[in-house]
Amino acid sequence: MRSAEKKKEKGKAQGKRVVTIYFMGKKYEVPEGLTILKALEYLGYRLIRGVGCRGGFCGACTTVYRKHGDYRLYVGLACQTPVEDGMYLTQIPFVPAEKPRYDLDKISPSQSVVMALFPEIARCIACNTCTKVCPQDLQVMDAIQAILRGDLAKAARMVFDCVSCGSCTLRCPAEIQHFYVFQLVRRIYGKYIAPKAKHLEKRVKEIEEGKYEEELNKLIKGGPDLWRELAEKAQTGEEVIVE
Amino acid sequence: MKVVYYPGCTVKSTAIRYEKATIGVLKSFDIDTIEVENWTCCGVVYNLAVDSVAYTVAPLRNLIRAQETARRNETEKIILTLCSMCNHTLRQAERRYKSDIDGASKLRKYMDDEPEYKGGMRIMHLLEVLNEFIGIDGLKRHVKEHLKGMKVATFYGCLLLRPRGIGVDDPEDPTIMEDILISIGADPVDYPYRNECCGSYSVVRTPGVVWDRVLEITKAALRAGARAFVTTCPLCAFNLEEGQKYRSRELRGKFLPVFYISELIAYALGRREYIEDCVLAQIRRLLGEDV
Repeated sequence: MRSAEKKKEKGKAQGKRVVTIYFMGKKYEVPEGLTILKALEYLGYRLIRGVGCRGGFCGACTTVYRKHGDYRLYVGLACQTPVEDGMYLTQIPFVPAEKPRYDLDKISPSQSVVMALFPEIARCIACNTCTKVCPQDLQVMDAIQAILRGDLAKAARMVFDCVSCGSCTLRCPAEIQHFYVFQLVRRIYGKYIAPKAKHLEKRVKEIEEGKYEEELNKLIKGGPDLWRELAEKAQTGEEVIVE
Repeated sequence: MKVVYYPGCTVKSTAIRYEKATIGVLKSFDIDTIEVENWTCCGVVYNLAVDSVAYTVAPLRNLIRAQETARRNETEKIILTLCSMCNHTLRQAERRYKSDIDGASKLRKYMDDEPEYKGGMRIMHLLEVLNEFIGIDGLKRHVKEHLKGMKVATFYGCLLLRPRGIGVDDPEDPTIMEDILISIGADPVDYPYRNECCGSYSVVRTPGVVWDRVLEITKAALRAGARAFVTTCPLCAFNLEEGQKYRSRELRGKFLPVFYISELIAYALGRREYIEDCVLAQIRRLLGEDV
């Protein structure tokens, strides 16, 4: 008996339904309810590229797929997308794009800076293909358009959840390298546009002035016994003070 | 009344003073402008190839979003445009969608991520809104500061008037801007270049061609006795200003300031708060006031 069939039997024995998927053209049957990533590992694939945090944050496990009876091309993160019956899929472990170099301290927070580094964004014809393909459901095209009209703050806020998977960059007919563009506008936003966090500045100042030196030194001197004692105390919810 | 307002990229960047004056003027006549939600670039240059569906996607998307903005905000089914390029592209797309049955169904299938465009949005340029909803008499009645016969050269440019049926007035002998300017007390001069092209986007690749063109336009306006240009197109305004700077030697240092028509109307209405300080100073200087 071939291993896939064995596994199907095993799945049936456990009372689970199985679904048929086609991974790079090859037909497999896997238990329903697995994510694409788990399904591939269930089938014996050892993933080296195209896998990362397994929590939907890093954007490494981009998978493109089609569904039975549907002409649309879908993109999902393999660690977040459950398998469906009749799914045709493959992993996209890397998206080629040139990483631009710039000194954030030396640029001005203006649209012309973005245009100079990424002149191709002016080629956007508002086809919205990028938005349709985004696994994070971001309004990708609207963000590019916001940059084109100089509204960097709006663009940066719109793409805060970008995981740089690069699906938009592969699909764009204007060959825009969205995830690097977005990285730049978020950096500009963080450095020049967003309001400064006053409490953070205050805390950094306190640290620099040595407010916590004494306590830290006590901690270092106390060693593992003290740390364990304090950790246990902290777990009960009590306030921890280093004596 | 409430209308949907489509600004366009240039109005939001280099021509923000045009928006400020326009919205202010319309507001003082109880016309509220509601900006299209999530508008995109208009598509910039309308593609004349009949099989080019891709370039109609952007303007059509804006028509759809304007339609939805109008529905949500219960406005008139009117899209106000300020820029000649945007006005032209949106109108061409609307006309094409209405008349080109094959192309329309292809576009509809392609754009299934947006609601369907039901048609019937009327794209109106600022000049038409002023002319139709406020009118020459309406403007005249509200003039507080007469422009004292200020000699101005209107500059329509090309795409605001062409092609016939899409443009806002007769392409060869437009009068809409002159009528409005006369009603607020200015004196528009007659010169041959007012409905010609300013050089348009050639400024990106071959700016010299544009500067030479602006030189000819400016010389003709000066010969006719004009002391300023009045336009409604942000790209014309940009080219006219920059061109005069680059050809200042040939113009022997003469420079005609470039005003947007809404800035002069705002001045005439006594609403100086809608005009940028540097522009206001130029207007006052031309009117012989101490600045």
